[in-house]
Amino acid sequence: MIKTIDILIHQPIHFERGKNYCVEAASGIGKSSLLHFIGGFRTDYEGAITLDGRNIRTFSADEKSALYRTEIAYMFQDLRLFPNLTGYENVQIVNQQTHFRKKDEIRDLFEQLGLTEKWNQQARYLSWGQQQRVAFIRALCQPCSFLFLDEPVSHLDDANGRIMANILKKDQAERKYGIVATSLGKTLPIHYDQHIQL
Amino acid sequence: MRLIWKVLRQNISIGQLFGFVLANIIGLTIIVLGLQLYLDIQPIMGDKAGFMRPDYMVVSKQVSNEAAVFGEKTTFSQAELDDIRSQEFVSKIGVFTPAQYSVYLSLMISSYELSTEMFFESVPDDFIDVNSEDWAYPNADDLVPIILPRAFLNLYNFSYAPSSSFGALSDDMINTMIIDLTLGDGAYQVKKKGRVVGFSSRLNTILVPQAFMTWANSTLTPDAEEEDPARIIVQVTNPTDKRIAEYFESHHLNVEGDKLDSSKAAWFVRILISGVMMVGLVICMLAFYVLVLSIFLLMQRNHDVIRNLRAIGYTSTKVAIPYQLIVLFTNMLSVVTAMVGMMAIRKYYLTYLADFAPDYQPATVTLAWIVLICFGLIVSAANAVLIKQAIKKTC
Repeated sequence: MIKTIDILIHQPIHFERGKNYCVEAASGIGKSSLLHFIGGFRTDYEGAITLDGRNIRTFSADEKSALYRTEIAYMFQDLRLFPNLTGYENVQIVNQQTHFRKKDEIRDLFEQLGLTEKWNQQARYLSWGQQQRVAFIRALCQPCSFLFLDEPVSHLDDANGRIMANILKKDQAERKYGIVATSLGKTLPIHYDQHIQL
Repeated sequence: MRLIWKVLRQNISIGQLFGFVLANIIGLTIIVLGLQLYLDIQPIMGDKAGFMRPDYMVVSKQVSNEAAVFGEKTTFSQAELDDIRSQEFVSKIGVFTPAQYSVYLSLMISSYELSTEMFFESVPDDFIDVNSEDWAYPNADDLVPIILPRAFLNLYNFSYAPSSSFGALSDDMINTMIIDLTLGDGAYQVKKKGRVVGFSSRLNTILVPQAFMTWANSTLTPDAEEEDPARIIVQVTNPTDKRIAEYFESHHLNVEGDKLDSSKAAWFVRILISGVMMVGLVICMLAFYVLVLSIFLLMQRNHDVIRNLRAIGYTSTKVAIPYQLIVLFTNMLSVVTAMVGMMAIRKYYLTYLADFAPDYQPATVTLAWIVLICFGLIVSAANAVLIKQAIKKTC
């Protein structure tokens, strides 16, 4: 279980499990890049990112796969849903390998986020906001030490943003993971232990 | 697995896969047809009829006019035997031992007695491909086992018997007949009984077991000196080796029958079939290349899907499985279709091969199956490794 993440790129950044961080910056400054660096998706940077002291660059491809399955959950800015899968299938493709949530729990999350009608609809036919909520549920189906949310409410109205925040608070209280959310201005309404300006 | 397959099957080009399968089927069919044809014509090329194994050759010296007039020796000296023995294509040699005593043979056929003067020869028993019990001497019946040239039986059946109102004799009838043998002269004369245990279509001599010959020569002609052999029997490592013909020709040696010609023909056929199989192999290699390109193109088109699967925790092994299954399925489809194609063509050519030899028995197709399946599995395994490596690089 990863407890800390240290980033030494331009300025030292320290993430701790159980705490919430809001990474803020103007568009194009590098919020998404930072999240991609942390997950090892990109390596085009100078400096070091360590997970519990181990440099992310030293992780093999399959070690990274294991990391994404058990330690780090992502909700990407570009969402990365599969357009030909339905709303439920996009969640299930993660859940079938983590076996983290029962089908009823997933259905309940769909209901809470107003997606009941989108259960059997292919992702290609969902609006960006609906896709954001599906991607959020998918991220919650992954056991993790850190949850990275890249502009999670950029296309959501305030009501849905609050619902998402409430689900997150309740889930985090049970699982004690750290949350790192990026914001371009519209912020996920949860308590943050630290705001980081890039 | 169903969901992974659902996202990964996008962009599969049926046309490209069909192209690969078609090319692979053509290549594999040519390879396996060449192999099976080679196996099927072996009984005809190898001429296994008779009592000598196909890799044995009976060798004697050419009798020139000078040798005939001046009485030059046509026997093999020890040095000549050693030289032949040292050739790389020779695995072992044996010498013919001639009888040094006279042989008088009589046989009752249809209450008529046929009798004639004869001669015996022997070769080491391990050159004779006959049931060892039949060839043993002394045996339980104390009968001398004899192998006759088939030409003798043919001469009797097709020339002598019709003109003399005798019936034709089958192999089995001959085998049951007891032959009276009068061996040697004067004080050393003995009478024996013999039985024909087989016919040789390739060896023009009358063979008796080596043990009998040794006994008879020492008993009936105790004072005779041992002579150099006039004929030898040579076992070669590969009858189609072209060095055999070169050596025998340069040393003015005769190989009895058409053994050398058939060796050359077998060598030519082998070269021809190898060439055809090489063409098949090249087509298969190209088909393999097409398949690899198709799969890599497919993975390139699905790059984002693969990257996203990796990002949600799927290992390279799990992502590779659908592509590996496609490869395995198409390869095995090609293998089975090529086999069916080969069997259909084989059925056609077997009718022609059967015309060459009435008792022709085609080879089994087991080896063809093994070769094809191994080929399919090796190609699939090579593809699987390439796919896995390509996916590992996609993150």
